[in-house]
Amino acid sequence: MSEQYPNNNGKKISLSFERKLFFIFLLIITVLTIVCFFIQKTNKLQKDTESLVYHTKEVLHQSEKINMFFKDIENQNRGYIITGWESFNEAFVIVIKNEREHLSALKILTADNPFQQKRLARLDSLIEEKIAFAQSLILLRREKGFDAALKRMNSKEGVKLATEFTHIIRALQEDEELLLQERKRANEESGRRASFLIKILQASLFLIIISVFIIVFTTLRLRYKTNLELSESREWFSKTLSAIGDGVIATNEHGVITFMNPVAESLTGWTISEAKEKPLEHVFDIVNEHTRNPVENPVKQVLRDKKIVDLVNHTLLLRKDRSEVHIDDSAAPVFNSKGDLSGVVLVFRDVEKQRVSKKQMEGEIVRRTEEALKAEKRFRSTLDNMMEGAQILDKDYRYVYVNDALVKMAQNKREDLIGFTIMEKYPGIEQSELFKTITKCMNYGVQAHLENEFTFPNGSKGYFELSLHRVPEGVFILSIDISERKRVEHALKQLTEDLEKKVLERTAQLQAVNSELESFSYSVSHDLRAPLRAIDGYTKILWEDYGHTIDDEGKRIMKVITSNAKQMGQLIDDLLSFSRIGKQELIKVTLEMNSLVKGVLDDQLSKNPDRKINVNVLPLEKGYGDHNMIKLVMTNLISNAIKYSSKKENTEIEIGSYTENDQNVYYVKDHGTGFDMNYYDKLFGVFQRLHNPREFEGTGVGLALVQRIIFKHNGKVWAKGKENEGATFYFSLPK
Amino acid sequence: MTINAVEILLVEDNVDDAGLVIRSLQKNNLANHLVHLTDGAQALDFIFARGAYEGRNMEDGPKVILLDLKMPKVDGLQVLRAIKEDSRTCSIPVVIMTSSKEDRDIIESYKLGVNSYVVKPVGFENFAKAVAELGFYWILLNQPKR
Repeated sequence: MSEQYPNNNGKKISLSFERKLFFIFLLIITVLTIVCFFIQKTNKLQKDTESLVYHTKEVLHQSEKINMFFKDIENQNRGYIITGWESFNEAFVIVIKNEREHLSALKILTADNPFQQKRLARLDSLIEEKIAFAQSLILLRREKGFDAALKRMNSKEGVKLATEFTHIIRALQEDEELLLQERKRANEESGRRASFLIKILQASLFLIIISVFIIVFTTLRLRYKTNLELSESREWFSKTLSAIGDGVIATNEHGVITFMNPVAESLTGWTISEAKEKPLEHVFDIVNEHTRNPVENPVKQVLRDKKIVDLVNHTLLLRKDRSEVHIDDSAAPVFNSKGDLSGVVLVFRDVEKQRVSKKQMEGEIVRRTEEALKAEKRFRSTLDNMMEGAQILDKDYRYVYVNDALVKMAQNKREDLIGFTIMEKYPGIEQSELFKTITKCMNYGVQAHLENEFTFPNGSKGYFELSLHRVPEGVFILSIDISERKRVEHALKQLTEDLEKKVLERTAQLQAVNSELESFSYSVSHDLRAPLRAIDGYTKILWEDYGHTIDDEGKRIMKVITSNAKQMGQLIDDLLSFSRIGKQELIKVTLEMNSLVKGVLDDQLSKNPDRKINVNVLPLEKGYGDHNMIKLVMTNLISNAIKYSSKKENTEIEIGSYTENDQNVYYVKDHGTGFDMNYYDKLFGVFQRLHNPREFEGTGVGLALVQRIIFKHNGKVWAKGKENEGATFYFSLPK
Repeated sequence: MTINAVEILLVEDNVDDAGLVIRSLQKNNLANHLVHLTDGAQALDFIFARGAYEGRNMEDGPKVILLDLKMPKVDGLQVLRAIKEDSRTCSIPVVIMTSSKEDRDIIESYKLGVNSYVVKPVGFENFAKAVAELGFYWILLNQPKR
């Protein structure tokens, strides 16, 4: 059996390979024969055309000779006529002979060309005429002397002869030249064809060599691979058979053992070396367990029926040492590639252990079933008592399981659900997104998690969070009632909307108040000032027109009136600028604080020329803010410092800065009247004053303005002070 | 008011303020040909010689108009607009007098083509001085084109 594979495969490969080689050989021979035939043919053609070329050249050569000798006849003839020497006549005779020889040679050469033959015949007669003419000249010379001969020589006859001869010989040569060209071309053509054929030969040989190489190479490789696979598969078979847990015995078509695996060896007690070449029943001796009668050998049955045979139960194998084993076996026929029975394979196993383990298995199954039942019970009760609704729909969308929570959610009874389809319970559900999702989950196993608004048949609505999973019966749906959450969410949304609406309303109100305030401040600035102007102006008129009739007390009173009016005017101006600051947009730039402070100081000092003021300005950090506003801050602080130092003999002011928490802090420090820290909270209030206006004039707006500006810059304002010892005012600006 | 040639037209609703202005102009001998009107509607009638002033010759002036902004009925800016929009009157110099320093008034007045602007302070002297100087300037140095 094991010998069959290589033969089969090897034959198959070599057969096709040889056939291929044969075909290639045939092809080569055919190609070579054809090509060689053509080469030979072309060669012959070439040779023919070559000889034709040669022939034509010869004709040309001969005609030229004839031409030459014809002229020589004339030359010798003239020589004699002029000199009268006989030597010329001797040469004349030889030339004539030559001319005639060449002419006859040319006639032979052009025998195949009747046209040229005609020309040659004419030439022949011309030559003979010429000779006759020349001979007549010789006679004349001899008999009548030079003059007579000369006269005759120059006659028309002689000239006519020479002209016609030349004409014919040229025509003949021209024809031959044409012929020569033609033949040369034909010759070249055949040469080209020959070399082309040789190239074809080369190319075909090259192609043939390459294809032969490829075929041989691939065939060899295939054969090598096949051999390798074959040996591998043989090894694999033998290893597999050896590793198999069952006993395996193979026999040939006569039932003679050819192979045994180790299990078969140990079961039978025979080794392969002992058992080989022995008939199977010798080694594989079986009897019925109960009757102890021999059982028919399965190999025999197979050889007879050519069908797979299973052994009857209760078979005992008698080992070599006559001990017994319970076995279970089967035998199968082996057919070769032609379909002939080539052997039998017998597979058998020891069933002793199986019998024991079967009993154990049965116990295990009972135990596991109990466990599974318990687990099922546990799961079912978990499912039943879960807070979340659980339901299983079968593939027809029929309720097959619902838990208590679901029954409650569905506002229904269990018996009204189980066995019904969801379409029956909720008509129209087929059109819903939920239905599509369920179908998708059921058919394609697409898990889904969704929120679903559900309208019950009675019209009430509920929100559910659903999880869908595919299960063998259909779909498992877990649902959580989120109606309450939804309601809260909705309420929250409503609340937010209300709030937004309220904010919008309030903003509008605020804007209205703002514009009211604006028009208020506008009218304050106009209308409040008009009466003050009148008080001031008419007091002045009183003073101017009636001053001489008023005593000093009256004049003092008028002064009080004027100064109060002015004070109130100032108050209005300050108030207006204070409210304007609130509206104004900040234009922030980098501030050179030292030069800003210098500008303020120059202005302030010039307003108090009679005071002795000492200001120490330290190098200040650069600030970032609105130039005009910060200048207003500095003006207020510095003018305050000057004002509240007026009771002291010397006014000492220090202006400095430092950095703290990413903010620049500036301060103005004086040693003036100071203030009581107990009243600190009144320091920055509008119209709040810590000093009597009689002591220090002012409107109480300055520091409030400072605070407002600095707040607008997101900075801070603060102060430290002590009564009669001075005060320090600080403000910070973000960098 | 039968003066033919009017030099100064004072439009001021506050009689007290007007009194102060007139007094300071008198002191500078500028109030001889002065007309004082107390609201914008009157002022327009006067300037364009209509209503109560029909028959007045518009060529008789005024040479300069001192105009208060805040007035009942027709306010100063409206008067100013009417003057500056009419080709017969647009060359008359107009000086706005107001208590307000509010930006929008100043911007609006300049847009309409005001010639000068005086803020009425509480302190009377400066105001009187300013008015007098301005009136003087416009009457004597800047004769309106005829």
